[in-house]
Amino acid sequence: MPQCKKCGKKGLFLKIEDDTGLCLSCNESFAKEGKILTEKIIEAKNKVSTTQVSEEIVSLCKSIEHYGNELIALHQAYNMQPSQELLGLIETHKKMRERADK
Amino acid sequence: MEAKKTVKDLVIPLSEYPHMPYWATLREAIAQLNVAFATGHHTVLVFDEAYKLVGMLLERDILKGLEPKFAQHHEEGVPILWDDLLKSGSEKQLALPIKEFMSGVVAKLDAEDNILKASHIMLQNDAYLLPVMEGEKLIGVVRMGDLFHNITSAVLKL
Repeated sequence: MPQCKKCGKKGLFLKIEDDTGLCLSCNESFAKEGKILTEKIIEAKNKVSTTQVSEEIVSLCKSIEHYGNELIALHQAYNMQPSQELLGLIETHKKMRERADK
Repeated sequence: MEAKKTVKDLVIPLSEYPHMPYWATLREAIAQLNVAFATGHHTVLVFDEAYKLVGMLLERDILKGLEPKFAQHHEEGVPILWDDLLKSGSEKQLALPIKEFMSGVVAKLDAEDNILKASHIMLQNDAYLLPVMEGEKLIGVVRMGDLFHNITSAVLKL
């Protein structure tokens, strides 16, 4: 019987999103919060690709790590696994920040 | 030697490409591509709210998106007054989300695939860029241009 990973609601006719394993209501709440964090991460990621200034690189990488970790926490709150893309992005920019910080 | 290379040798990390969320507008994506043009990347990678890669927006997707609907069915040249139509209709198109125009992730390559197999998969799927997996992990993307360069170099040396 389909069951939501977040609220635990279950039912024969309950619609569960394939990608997330969440019911429509939980999926909507996740998407709403996830969109805000994703936009912040992407904004910082695209900016950091165009700058050579160390201070800016450090600050933008910190933003990516910060919002990235918030997005991971959001995944955990909804009993979901964060994507490889997100983990890779955080790792890459952590290394980039450490290099720029030296 | 080139033909013996594997996909892993040609992988480009995802972070090198501009990223956009699927709900960004076509106008925003074009602006982002123009910024990234100097780096030689002509593709935007598209992500969802869980930061999962859901597609890519290629230059051809954008041009297709800007073409008036009826012009897409004309095989010979563009219809008359296409210029005017572009001016009048493009504003509406530019405000639409890029998920309407992007190419989906149609196939994935394995990091250990050789470049001939990768080229075959790309041709079969009419793709220009494909994600590369190492086990369960997404490690980047491979471009047709890089496969072309390596395969043709090997062919010319035969």
